[in-house]
Amino acid sequence: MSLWRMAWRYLWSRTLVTLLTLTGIALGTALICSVLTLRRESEAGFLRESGQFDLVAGAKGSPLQLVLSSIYQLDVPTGNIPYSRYEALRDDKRVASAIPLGLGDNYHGFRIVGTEEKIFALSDRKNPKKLLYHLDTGRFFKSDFEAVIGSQVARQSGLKVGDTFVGTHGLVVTAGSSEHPDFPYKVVGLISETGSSIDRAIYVTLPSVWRIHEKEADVHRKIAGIEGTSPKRDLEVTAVMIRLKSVGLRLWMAQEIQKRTEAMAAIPVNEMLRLYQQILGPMQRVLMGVAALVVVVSVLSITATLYQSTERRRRDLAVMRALGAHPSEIAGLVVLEALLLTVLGISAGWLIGHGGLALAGSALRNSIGIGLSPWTTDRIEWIALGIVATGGILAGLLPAIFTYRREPVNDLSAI
Amino acid sequence: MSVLPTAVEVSDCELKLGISGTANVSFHLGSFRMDAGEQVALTGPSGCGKSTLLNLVAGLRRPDSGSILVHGIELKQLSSGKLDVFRGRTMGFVFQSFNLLEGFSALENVLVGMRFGRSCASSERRKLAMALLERVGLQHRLDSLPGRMSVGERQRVAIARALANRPALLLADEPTGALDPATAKQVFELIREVCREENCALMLVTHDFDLAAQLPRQVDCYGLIGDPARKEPAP
Repeated sequence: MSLWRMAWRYLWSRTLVTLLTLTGIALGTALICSVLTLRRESEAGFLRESGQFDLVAGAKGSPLQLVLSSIYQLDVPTGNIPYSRYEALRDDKRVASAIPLGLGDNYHGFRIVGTEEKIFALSDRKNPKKLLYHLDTGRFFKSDFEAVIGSQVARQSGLKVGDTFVGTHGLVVTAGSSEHPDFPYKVVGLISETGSSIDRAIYVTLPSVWRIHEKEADVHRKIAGIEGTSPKRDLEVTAVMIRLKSVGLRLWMAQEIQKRTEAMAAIPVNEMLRLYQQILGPMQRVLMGVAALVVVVSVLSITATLYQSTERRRRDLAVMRALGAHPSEIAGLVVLEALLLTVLGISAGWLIGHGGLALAGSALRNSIGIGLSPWTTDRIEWIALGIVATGGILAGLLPAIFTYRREPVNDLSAI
Repeated sequence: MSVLPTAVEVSDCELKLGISGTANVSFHLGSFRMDAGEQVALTGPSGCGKSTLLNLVAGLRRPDSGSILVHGIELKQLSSGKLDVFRGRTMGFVFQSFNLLEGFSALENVLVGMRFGRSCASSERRKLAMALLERVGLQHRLDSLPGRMSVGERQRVAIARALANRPALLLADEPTGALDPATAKQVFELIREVCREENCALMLVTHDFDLAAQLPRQVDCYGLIGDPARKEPAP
């Protein structure tokens, strides 16, 4: 009978205590795995998207807000800037491509993004041979009031090619929001799933957005009792997403745009890194701290459990010594129990952590548009798991040393 | 005339048990010898030092002076680790309270004994353990846990375990003390029989003079061991 088998048998001779200790280690490990995986995946996802553009120009306000609203479809835009500003940026010799965005309406909470057809020709910066937008079915829009929808929009709203829908004023669903029944959109294309914010957007032409809001202004004037139609306003865009011919021009260009009173420019990668370092970073550190605390408590519980168990087994261990067991074999038996507890706990924790993320993957994709690879374990996570394992084994050493030093003759009831 | 090999030879051992008040309490053992395969009953009243004698012979306690040879090996010359290995290979134990490992089946209890006794290859252990349990009449109880066995069956498992490594010396401390008379008789006869078969020396501690009388040699510990409560002024 091997020491492994004996350790296993002793472990399960105290089922409840073993299960409780295992649960503690597993929960701590699960928390560590999920926090590290979430951090890695969300950081990679956010930075991957923010890296698609060098600059985002928009109305003055919070740069982070501008980046979140234009690239991630998350926050409220900072305002609008004249279309002429977009034209100036588009024609700038340093700009490789400039994509205008016009926001203002939503459909069932999904933003309707007015833009130009050239957005669909953008390639992935990390893989220039790959386009950012792939059609699943249909085609890209060609004329006003044609809409191309993201995969999540299609999945959640049930819209398909050929369907029509009307937008609602505002970027989020609120009670009493007015619809635009006079301007129905027709779905002409469905974009393949990207695991990014593209999945949550409805793309239409910019003039579609302008026409709806001109009409809106006329209605408001009528309600207010003002005669005639609204004066012709300058056309506006909400943001301009810019790719430069050289990445090195980012700061120079941003400062130049900043000097103009009607616009500002944000560097998306910088804003997202700042978001991570200043807001998400501390939160993750707190979560990691909690996870580490759970693991420390679990590791201490291994020590307590094994110490208590060896105390209860003093007679058994003394009998083994009488049967010829070397003190190191008895101590090894205790360490093996700690090792088994730790390995089982870590394995269960890894499964719970990553399995939980796999289950929550679709919910996360739906809420923040980040697709996860939940079963990937990177180097940092392996190191963290190694630290937990080392802690668990060290926790078994203390009771093992006590056992090693004990004289069996005192624990044998009679010989 | 041929000289029988010696199983146990004790000469002038002294074990200091501690200080009681202002005096040292010590245990003194004169001369004692057992031949290989010999069966000896140690008798004497409680507290006269029978168990301490067994501890000394088993090497679980080391004397402060004197010499103990088991199978020709001087125990005090062995390091702690070597003594453990020697004990596992050379000696078997039967305890009054059986001292079986409660979480392990009858077969596993014997296998644990073999594991630590290191007497045979691991591939042969299972077969040998089953044969031993069959020898003590427990072939139908291999997978039973001690808690679900009768006291007689438990002591049989303990005997099988004690003999698992084919020891040269079996140390039995009141092996029938917890058994009813009928079971005690069976167990006692079983111990004697297997020791005879295996040519294993038996050192049996008992209060029961009738039982002791059935062994070829009886040693009154009261005469062998000096007064264990003997006190000398502490230095």
